[in-house]
Amino acid sequence: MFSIPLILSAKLAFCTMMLIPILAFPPAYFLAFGSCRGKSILDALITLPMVIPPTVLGFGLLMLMTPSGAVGGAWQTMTGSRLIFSFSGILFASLIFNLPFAVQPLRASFEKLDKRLLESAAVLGLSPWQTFYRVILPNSISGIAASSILVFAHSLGEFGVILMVGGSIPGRTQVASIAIYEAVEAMRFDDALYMSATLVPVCFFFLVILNAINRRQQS
Amino acid sequence: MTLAFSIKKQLEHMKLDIKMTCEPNTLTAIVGPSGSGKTTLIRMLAGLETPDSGNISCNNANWFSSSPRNVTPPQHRNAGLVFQDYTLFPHLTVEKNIRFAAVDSEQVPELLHSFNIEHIKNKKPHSISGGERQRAALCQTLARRPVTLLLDEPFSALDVTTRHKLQEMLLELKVQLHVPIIHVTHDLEEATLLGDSVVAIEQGKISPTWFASQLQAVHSAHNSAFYCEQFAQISNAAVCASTNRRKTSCRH
Repeated sequence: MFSIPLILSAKLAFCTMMLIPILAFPPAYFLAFGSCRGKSILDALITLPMVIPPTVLGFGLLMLMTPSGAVGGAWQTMTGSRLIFSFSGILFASLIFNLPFAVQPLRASFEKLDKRLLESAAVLGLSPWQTFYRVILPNSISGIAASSILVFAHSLGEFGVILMVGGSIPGRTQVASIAIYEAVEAMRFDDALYMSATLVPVCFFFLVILNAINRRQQS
Repeated sequence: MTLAFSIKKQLEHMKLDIKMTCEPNTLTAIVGPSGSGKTTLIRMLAGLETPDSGNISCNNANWFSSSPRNVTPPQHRNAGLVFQDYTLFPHLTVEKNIRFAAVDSEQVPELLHSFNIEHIKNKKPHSISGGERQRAALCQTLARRPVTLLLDEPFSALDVTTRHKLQEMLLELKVQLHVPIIHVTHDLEEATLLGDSVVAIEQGKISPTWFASQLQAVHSAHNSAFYCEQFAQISNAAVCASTNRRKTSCRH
């Protein structure tokens, strides 16, 4: 029974990790190489989910994701189903919540690139898009890996935002962190201990890998 | 193919105002102290920086003109640029770096052979020597069959022996390429050795073109401490040796 929230957490973390590059690459590229006034505003906007309370972010997303909200309404029109209290809904929230954790390592990795490589690519005839996927991406592998691992580990521990937009529906939106909370409330300490004891080494393992990548990047 | 330009650009501490025409099969050496605008000039020709005004054209193709405004991006200029430091792509092997730029990939084995880098073709740039890296960079640039070759102090980071070998290679290439070559250096000895003509950038403007026969006269006429110091380091033999190879093919 307690394995279902763990599997759901792993599924959510994996889906977030796989989808977040689509959202994270454009702002990371713009923040690293762009040079216009809106840069600092975009930077603050991207970092915002990192500093505001998860309940505040969750409440904001809840308003957006209800059938009368902009995102929830559009989703319902497209799919015929509600975004809120669904796995798709918590995945959407997870993507927003994790965006700064994906953008910052990518941005740092892009900024570390030798700018002359980009100039060399331009002189050799590569378009900006070709330069991105033939020069920038292959030379930012460690940044991409760091970003993915950070997002995966962070997704495993999400609580406030998921609770706000997904509630706690077993098998659908009840991820491990929420299940642990409910198990403790219901005095089912064995279940809570089992789930916690599974999550901690997994997160520890990913952080060790992350540190190794960071060390490699620095050297 | 003729490279002609007349460009002005305000730099931090001076205004660059340069007008030149460079003919194919000739190497124009541009000398000047650090901060004189040599690299900025090369970057403007390659399209990596934009002049404030003027025009740049290569063989009837307009690369830049301020009026009417036209800026051809570096991707569409097909200028070959070799930087001061090696800028091979670190994630690719030497061979893949050259294939990356090659117009005709069947030409790559021949290029690797002619630049004597066949033995390192499967190595990544960080695992080869400075001289090999610069040979590979030159090979990569030429694999694109550029319409002009721009060299920004390409040998300055190399030891004397390697530098001399690459200088010899460049002299051979000059004959084969049929494109104008601009070689920027702060080393006047190298400039006189390689260049068909030598010009100096000083206070943002270029000096009269020095052809070999004039070098000694310019030496005595110039009051600049930089050139006096530089010329003092050049033996008469070096200047005389280069005299025989001079052509009057670059004018400003």
